Amino acid sequence: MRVIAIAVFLWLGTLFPVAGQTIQTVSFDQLERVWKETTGSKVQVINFWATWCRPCLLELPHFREAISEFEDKDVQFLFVSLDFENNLSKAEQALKARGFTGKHFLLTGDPNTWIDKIDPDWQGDIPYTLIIRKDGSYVKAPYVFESTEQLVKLIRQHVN
Amino acid sequence: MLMSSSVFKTDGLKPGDLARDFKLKNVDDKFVALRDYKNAKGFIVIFSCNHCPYVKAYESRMEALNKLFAPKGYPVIAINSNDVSRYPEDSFENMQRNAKQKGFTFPYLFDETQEIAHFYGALKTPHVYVLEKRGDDLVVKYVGAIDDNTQDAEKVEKRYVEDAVNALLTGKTVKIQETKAIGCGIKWKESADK
Repeated sequence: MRVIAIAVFLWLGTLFPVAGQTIQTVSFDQLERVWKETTGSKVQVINFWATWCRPCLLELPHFREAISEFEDKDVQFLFVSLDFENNLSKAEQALKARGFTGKHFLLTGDPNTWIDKIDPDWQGDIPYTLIIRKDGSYVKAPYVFESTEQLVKLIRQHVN
Repeated sequence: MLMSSSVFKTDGLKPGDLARDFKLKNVDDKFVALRDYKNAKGFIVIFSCNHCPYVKAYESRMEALNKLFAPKGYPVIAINSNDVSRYPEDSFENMQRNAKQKGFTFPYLFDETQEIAHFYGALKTPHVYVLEKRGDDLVVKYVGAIDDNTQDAEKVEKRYVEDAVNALLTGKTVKIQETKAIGCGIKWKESADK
């Protein structure tokens, strides 16, 4: 009987995938490894945001639309929250409410140890978007995207 | 136009620069200037506010810094420069309420015109400038973050401000003179000239 119960339980599990965390807490080294894995095969758009950053929340829908726009292209979008770790569920809710799915990251560790590795001119203010071209070069976008067109236009320039 | 504060990245006081005094209203309605502190050896100026979660995470540490260093000649001087029209939570009345609730023993000043934040080149809250008195001059000796862990005071390893002030008090060189301030951007008035 128990075997059957377990079998049914497992089968049900396949119908309803456990809603695991959409946000993974990572150190900078771990995050860098994630994007280095894909450098070369895809253009990467990395957006740094947080729930307490109003302009960040305002531009997230533009990124959501851009994801659809580049669905069949070699573009990978990575969203990195700089929220406090104990606000992780708040960040997840913010993403869910805006229709984001898939894997996201929350970056931990002293920002003074990793900001310069991304961009020495960056003061750590967000939103901050970094585009990594297939040739590995960085395109910095340290500003708010006011429209989907503005974002899509920039990404298109670097997708080839 | 929505702005990110990266516009200011090349402005702002750096270690070695001369800072300026100011006269700003404190939460007790009296005006405070650095020159009022005749016996101070220097100051821990912290650009701050009421609403920012980064500041909230640091408030007890700011108080601890004042308790530790004011008796030694380096009082904490907190300044709120945020645009109240966009962020009413950072109003003067709320500063008074916040200071009272948290039991701040340091001055919490209102930089209503944002002139002081502009001069210092403050970008964030919290953003620290450790100043050393040299005759009539105020020399910047450290700029940046308070320590290396906003979220967890127990896990702090690098006490940037504490180490800087201790170095100054013992006549040693400040080892880490500059870090990037981590926090919410200072809320500039829309008409501000950049």
